[in-house]
Amino acid sequence: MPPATPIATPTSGPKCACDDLVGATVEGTQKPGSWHVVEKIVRSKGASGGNFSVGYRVRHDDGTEAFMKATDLALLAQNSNMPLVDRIQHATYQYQFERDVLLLCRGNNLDKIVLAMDHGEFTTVFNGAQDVVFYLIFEMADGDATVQSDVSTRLDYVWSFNAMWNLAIAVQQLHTTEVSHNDIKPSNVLRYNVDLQKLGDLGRAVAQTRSGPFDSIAYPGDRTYRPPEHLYRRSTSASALTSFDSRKATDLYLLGSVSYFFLTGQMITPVVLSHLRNDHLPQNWNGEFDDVLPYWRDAFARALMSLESEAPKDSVGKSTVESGELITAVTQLCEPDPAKRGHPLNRRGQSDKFGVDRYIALFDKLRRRMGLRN
Amino acid sequence: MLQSDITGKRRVIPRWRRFSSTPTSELVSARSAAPYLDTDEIPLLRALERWNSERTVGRAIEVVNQALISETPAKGLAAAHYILAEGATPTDAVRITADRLVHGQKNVEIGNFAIDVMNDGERFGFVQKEIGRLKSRLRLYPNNALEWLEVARLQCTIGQPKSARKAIRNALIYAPENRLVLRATARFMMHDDDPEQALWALRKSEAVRYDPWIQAAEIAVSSVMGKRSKILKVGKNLLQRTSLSAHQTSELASALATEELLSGDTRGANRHFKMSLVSPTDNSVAQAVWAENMGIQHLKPNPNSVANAFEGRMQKSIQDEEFEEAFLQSVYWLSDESYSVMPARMGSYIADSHLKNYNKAIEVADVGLIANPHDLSLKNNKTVSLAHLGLLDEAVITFEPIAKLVKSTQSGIDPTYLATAGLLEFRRGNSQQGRDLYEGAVIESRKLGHIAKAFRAKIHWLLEEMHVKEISADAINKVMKRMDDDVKYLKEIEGDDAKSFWSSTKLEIEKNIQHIIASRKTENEDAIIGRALTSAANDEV
Repeated sequence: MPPATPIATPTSGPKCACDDLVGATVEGTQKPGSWHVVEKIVRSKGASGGNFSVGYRVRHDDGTEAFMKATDLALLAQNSNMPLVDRIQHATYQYQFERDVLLLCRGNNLDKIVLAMDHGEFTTVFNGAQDVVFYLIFEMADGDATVQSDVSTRLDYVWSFNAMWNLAIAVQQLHTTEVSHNDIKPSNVLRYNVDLQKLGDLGRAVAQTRSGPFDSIAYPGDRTYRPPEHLYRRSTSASALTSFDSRKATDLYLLGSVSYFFLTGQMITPVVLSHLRNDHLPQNWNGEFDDVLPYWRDAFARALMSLESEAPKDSVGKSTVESGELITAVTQLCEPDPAKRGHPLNRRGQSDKFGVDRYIALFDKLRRRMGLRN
Repeated sequence: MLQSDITGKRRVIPRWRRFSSTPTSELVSARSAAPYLDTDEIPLLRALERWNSERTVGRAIEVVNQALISETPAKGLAAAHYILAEGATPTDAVRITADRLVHGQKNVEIGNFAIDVMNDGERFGFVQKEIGRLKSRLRLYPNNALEWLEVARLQCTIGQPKSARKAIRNALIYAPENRLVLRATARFMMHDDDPEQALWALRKSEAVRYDPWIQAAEIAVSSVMGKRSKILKVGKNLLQRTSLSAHQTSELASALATEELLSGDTRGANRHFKMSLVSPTDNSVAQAVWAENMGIQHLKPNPNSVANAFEGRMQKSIQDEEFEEAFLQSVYWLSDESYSVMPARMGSYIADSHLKNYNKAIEVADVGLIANPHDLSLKNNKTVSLAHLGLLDEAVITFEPIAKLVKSTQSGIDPTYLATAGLLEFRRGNSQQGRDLYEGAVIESRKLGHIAKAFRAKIHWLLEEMHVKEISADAINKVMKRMDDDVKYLKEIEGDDAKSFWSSTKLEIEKNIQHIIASRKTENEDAIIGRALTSAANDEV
């Protein structure tokens, strides 16, 4: 394990070892040379659902700037009632799995996924106790997609359609590698320049080819963006919800939801929830998912109106052909019944029911048309 | 003479109103299971932490999203207010979510919606435009069964049942087990005079086995068709064993009570009606008002305490002889179920017969005729009001399809139509033909055992005699005396209404009788007014 130098034991402020790495130097295992921790970065990612980490801007000896996601056992142990031994095992397992999946992605040249440039771990002493800090180092992004929620900061149609295309390719790349992301959301869509967006944070991923910490959890991602089948009680067996097909259906929903977000600034699930009556909200519904589906669909249709109003218009204020095609794509991707989700043509013959190809082609066409218009 | 529904046998046929005004209590699951809860508060606390460190719309909406599905939504209020504050620049979709957290669910529409629309001469165009808007949304997302229902409902309000049937079929395809869809289907099929289809849709569903709302509809539709319900026992068992609330089983209890009442089991009916009133729906409270009129005592239904109970309030107001209120409630009912012929029939009847407001009566009849353009009862009521206004040509045109029926039918014609034909003849100056027709109405009513209807025909006939001034005050007094005797033979619902109509008409006649004496003296009056007008209520004529 490469040593970290120097790490001072804090007297106040930092809550754990990985919270105070500014000024530290860490060794990578992939890229020869050292990484110097420059500053802490506050990002919205990495803190949802208990997967705690701290972000830093780091600079390599060769001048490469990157993002470091660091965590440690003490941080992982926060808010957990697990025995220490279990916590250590869980934390190392989670870190190992994310690292391995990232390596798998790198090996498969998944260019729309934010890949780890380096990774490592070191032991340190914090508050008199020994701790282990794990870190993953990623390409540095300009920011994420959350800027779309604010009219004053949001990016234009060309960017939005381009992002949809890049994101659809990212999902396809993961699915082809037999990995489901399970946590596609605006803060995980990273911006690199005007026309490049990548999907980051594989911390909640599940891989078909290797066991991982979330294999038995139907939906490990951000709960506020869940597709409806994961919000309501179902008579379906748990194994059906954790099948790879089910996970791909979830990724499709999230792809549609983020596409919706690029134009409306909000993921579709919270908007649908806003249109539901109180008694139909997940926390109040006394029936099963199938029973609430017609009400969800009605609220979903209302949520689509927000997309319609934000989608491109022609010179007389009418929705353009592109808008219609986008709305159709979002209705298919976010179809609340997972059995009917995705492109209708994919439900025929031997096609991959949850295939993304058709959406990649569509988004490519739309982004080109939007690009030409501008 | 006007047609009403006062004497009809009422069943607990489901209401079908727009989704936004359907009470939520009708839209909860009958399975009564525990909700799926995610009690983890950590994600919300983390989102709050991030928002506190960086006050942006992006951070605030994360908090709002978490709060929306958490057990402690109040923790997201500050962030929601931040988004909605002046100067903030959230997108509309972000604003919608924040608004929901701050203001909660939009209220279910109750009350006098669509009244303005109803008075608008462009109602037809307005509704068509709305249908077009919904259809264009359905083209984008056809899986929305509730929107198909709304299309069907609107199509019914403008008299397009064929198109509505297609929309209903689509709703059934996308949500074959949904309570709202099944009940609306049943109501639509009854409206379109196809109870077989209503029963088929209800019986083939899985929900009929466990959902009391579907069971109530099955029992009611079976009853209208004169068939025995297949789930009477299941329904009774459910009432005994269910853990569902009294409101959830109110219509089932009411439907069972109605069957018991109609089969003569008044004890069983009384028990189940009382059960239905523990926490009634607007439908079950209207049924209880009807049952009270049918002789079930001590129910004391209170429609004023139930949302949307327009029909029940209207019936109660008629009982209490508060006809202004009864008319108002009939208009609300018509706005609520604009496709239904019954509120239009009742509204036009009350406005003309009790309020003498002939313009309002025509207006209400016209709204009903948009949805039901071939309904003879509405054409009849409109004809009467037009004649009362002196718009004879229009009255004759409106009455044309009924007149053809009267001419072509030898017997079994609705006495109401004979009376209205009599009215028109009087107003056209053909007094003797008018008398013959009124006499026919009295005789036919008695043949059918409708004593109250015969009595009403006589009141209208007498009014026409007053109008043409061909008989003396002595003759009129003689008839009035006879009718005062007749009143005691009138029973039950329509009897009460006819009594009330008679007492108000009598006052009017007494006010004008001096004028009659001064204007005319005629010989052989008995021959003119005929035996029918002077006969006792239950005499053979």
